[in-house]
Amino acid sequence: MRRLAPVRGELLDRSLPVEFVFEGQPSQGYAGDTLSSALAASGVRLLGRSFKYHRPRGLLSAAGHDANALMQVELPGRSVPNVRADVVPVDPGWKVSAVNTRGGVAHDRLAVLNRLAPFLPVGFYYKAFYSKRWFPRWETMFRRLSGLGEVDLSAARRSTPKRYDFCDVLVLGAGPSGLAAALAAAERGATVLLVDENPTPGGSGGYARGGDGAT
Amino acid sequence: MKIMTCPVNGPRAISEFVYGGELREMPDPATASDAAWADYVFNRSGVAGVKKEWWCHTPSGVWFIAERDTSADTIHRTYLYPPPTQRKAEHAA
Amino acid sequence: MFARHEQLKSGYEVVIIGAGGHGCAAAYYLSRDHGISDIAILEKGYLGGGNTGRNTTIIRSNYLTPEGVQFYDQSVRLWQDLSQDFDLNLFYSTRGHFTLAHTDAAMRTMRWRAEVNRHLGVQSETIDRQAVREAIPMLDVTCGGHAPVVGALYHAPGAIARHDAVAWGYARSADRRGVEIHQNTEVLGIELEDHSSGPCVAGVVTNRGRIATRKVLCAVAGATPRLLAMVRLRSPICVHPLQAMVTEPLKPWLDPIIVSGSLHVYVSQSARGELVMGASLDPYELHSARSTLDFAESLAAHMLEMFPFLSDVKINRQWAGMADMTPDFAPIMGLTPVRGFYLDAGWGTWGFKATPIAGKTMSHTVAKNEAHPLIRAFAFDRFARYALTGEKGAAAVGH
Repeated sequence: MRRLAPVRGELLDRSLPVEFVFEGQPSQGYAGDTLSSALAASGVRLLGRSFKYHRPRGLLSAAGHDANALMQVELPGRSVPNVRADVVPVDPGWKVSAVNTRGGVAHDRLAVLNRLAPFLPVGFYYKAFYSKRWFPRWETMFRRLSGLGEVDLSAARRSTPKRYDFCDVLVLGAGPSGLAAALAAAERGATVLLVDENPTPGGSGGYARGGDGAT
Repeated sequence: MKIMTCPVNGPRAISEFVYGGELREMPDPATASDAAWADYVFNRSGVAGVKKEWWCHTPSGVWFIAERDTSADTIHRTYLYPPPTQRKAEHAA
Repeated sequence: MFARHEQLKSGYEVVIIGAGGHGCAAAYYLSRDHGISDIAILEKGYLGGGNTGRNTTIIRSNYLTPEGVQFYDQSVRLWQDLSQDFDLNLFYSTRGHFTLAHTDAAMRTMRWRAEVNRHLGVQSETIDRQAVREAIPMLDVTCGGHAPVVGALYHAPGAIARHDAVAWGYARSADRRGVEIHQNTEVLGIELEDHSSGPCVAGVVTNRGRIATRKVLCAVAGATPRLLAMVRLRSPICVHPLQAMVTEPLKPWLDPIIVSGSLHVYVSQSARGELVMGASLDPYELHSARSTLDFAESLAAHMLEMFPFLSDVKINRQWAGMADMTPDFAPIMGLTPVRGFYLDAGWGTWGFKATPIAGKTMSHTVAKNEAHPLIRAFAFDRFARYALTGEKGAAAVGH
């Protein structure tokens, strides 16, 4: 286990363990873990494969920028493509696997494309296989190789509730700057809406809770 | 633009409104030449700028004029037809 | 990809305004077929940065009028050989195109289109609801219960292509033949001389200098009204934003191109796995390529009526172009009352598929100073003659 010691105000609830499956292997985390954080805590470093050359990929930012940590997640009743492992909190019972591999992320057979990389430079497809005879076959193969997650054609339609609102000032980001701006606007009598994509406000104000020297 | 001010109902979400085309002077159909009539029916001012346009507030059925900048997508003012200067002339007469 | 020219020459035989697909195609055919290569293409922004780079890449010829069908059919035929002509893969992929009908009135229009198409040798047929179900098994034919599919117009030659690549292909081939492409070059005015026969073109003033020329081809789509004002011409063109959006890349699940007039949706899955989706125009004049939330919301809702399993799929990106609309949904091509000023405009939401044939016919028109037979129905003066070419039933969705 590579967990930091508990810290006040952390996003985890260590009293609620979450069991899930990653790439066919059982894994666990806590309520509040994202897929990436749960896997990192378990010592799993390989999270996905790069789009074209299928190079091994792991944690990059854990802040919503990890484009190579996209997962196919099987929930009861539907399979969801392109779930962002560094953003979405993991729920019990999830069956998770990296997108766009053949034979799993650890032994992705398409990693052979990495060895062919010198022959497949950026934009190589503009100069290859465009004869009328070859293109249909080439395109079928290309379409199967590209694309990331898989759509579940049997998934039921989900309706998500919508709300409308009006305000004088809309503040995007509830970090220290956004909080200060929202307070300043409200103090001047504006109706303020403060919005943040994270589960709790505070932004960079909540970083380094564990202290600089924590291991 | 996200909010438009209906002259009768006040500021409303843009989804409550329907565009009715640019306000244009209609020539007298009885005396206009074919060319002038075709120009009125088909041709438009075209270029971006502040234009007077017909808009309808669909929940209430109010038709009115909006002066809108068709490149910045901002609404300068809205009023019921006829435009204010015409109304002043009517009151004066 | 093509040569950069430090300076404009003092004059050219032909000046083309707009380095999109149409402008570059016209330059290519002028140099290849008409022996004219003393051409400058002037582009205010970057090559292909206008509507050529913003459309949803659907190519078809299942139009309504005989003039329209013949015109777009010639375009499809040119498209099929274009990759070879350019030595560049345009990813021209014949996928089959379904226009869903949700009412009897719509089916009547589909039958009309099919008959006109077949009469002119274009492959189109009407199919019933059962055939739609078999061809597109993942489609919900009840469309959420609101607009059940009655049948469809099936057009086998319907295709998609890589839109940027066609501009690059034409530009590179034109460049190789001596055509000069000048980006970041804005036309500020067009000089006219008054003759007894009327005004005629004498030169073009740009932000990089003045060019003497007797022939100007204007192919600037949404910027057309501004250029027409420079030559004191009025037209019916009204500019509306046309938005589009793509999903994240997915493994292939949708092969054909699906269009629904009633639901205001058209969708295809690109070779990269993204769903490329569009809908109807923003219903008011606006000279801006901004995007809105209500577009994304309403298009997503209509997509879910047809494909309810897409709830979890995320939208990656949205953008818009400026559509130069005409009253009859047909383009405006050919000569104008200003001698030497040729117009290729009024492309609204139907311009990308016409890229090759527009270039070919306009090159003929500019070289010979006479409209190519295929474009006579799209003449600039047809509105004054009340002789419209009514393509609204086949050109767009949301009518």
